Amino acid sequence: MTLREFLITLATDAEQLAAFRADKDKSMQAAGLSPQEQALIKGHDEDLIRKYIQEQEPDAPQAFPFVANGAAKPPEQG
Amino acid sequence: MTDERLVVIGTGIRLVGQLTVESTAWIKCADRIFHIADDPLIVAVLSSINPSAELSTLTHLYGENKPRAETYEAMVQTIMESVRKPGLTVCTFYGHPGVMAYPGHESIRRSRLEGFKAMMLPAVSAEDCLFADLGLDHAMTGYQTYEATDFLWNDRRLDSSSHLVLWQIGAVGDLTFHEGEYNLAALPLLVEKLLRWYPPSHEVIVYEAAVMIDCEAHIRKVPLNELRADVVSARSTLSVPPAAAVKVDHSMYERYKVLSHGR
Repeated sequence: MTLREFLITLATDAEQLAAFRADKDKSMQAAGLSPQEQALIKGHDEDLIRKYIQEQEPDAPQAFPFVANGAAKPPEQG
Repeated sequence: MTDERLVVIGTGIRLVGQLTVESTAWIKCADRIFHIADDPLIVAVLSSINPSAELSTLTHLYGENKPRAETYEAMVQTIMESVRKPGLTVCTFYGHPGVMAYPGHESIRRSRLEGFKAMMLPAVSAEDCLFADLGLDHAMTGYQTYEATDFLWNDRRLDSSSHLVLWQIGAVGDLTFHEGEYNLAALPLLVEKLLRWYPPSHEVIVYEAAVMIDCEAHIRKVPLNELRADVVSARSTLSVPPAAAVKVDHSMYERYKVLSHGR
């Protein structure tokens, strides 16, 4: 399982997430994550995790820039 | 088959763990799913939950320097085209779909006007993450919150004895979309306005919720007069702790005491 697939599994399967919470090492080893991938998860660095996933799976969709989805109305527009 | 034609949901802020069971169930029922996800992983999560649904992004409607209000209108029109077709449309936003998010509310309003059943489900917003990460309980401090540009432009009044949160300070005064940084020329004006209520040395918090599993929120404390563009990103929210002690409303409190004495 790739790191990307592992994160998707944790996001959609509460049992797998519980197993990760109970024993991270066991959960990551069972998923077949490499030592580098396990270190990334334990490193708590969002940018590094994203960068790794994009490098490993360059054909996967890339992150879209964050954007605010609300906008104030200029006073002249009432 | 469900009666609903449009369900607007939020995927939460954290990639893992904030998608509710209720929202997951509606994703499973969807014929068409629109998303405004900034993270490709959440798109993969949606696809994994319902591989047979038609999955479309709305992010292509943004354009460099294009007013965001125009993009929101285009999003609503795209969603409405789908709502008019048979089947269930699910529209997903990151965070809470109704917090600082115009297209979801407007799509529901127009759907109902056209006689279609439509609803929004609550979700975990950046505000909820902020309460948890900063240990904020507004039962103790009171709480005021504004969108930063709205606060700048309008005659909003603050009570500096309660907590203040300003949203979208990373885009204050800029109503357009940018792939990179927003134009923060108005940020000094925002600081100037806040100085009406707070001393220059008052410590404020620039907050960004964590997205990835086990990562921590970005929490940067700076004096108000040092709040500049280099400490702010598009994701930033400004949290301003109280600067003054709360004042008791003596006349009301005395009346309350008389009342409670007579019980």
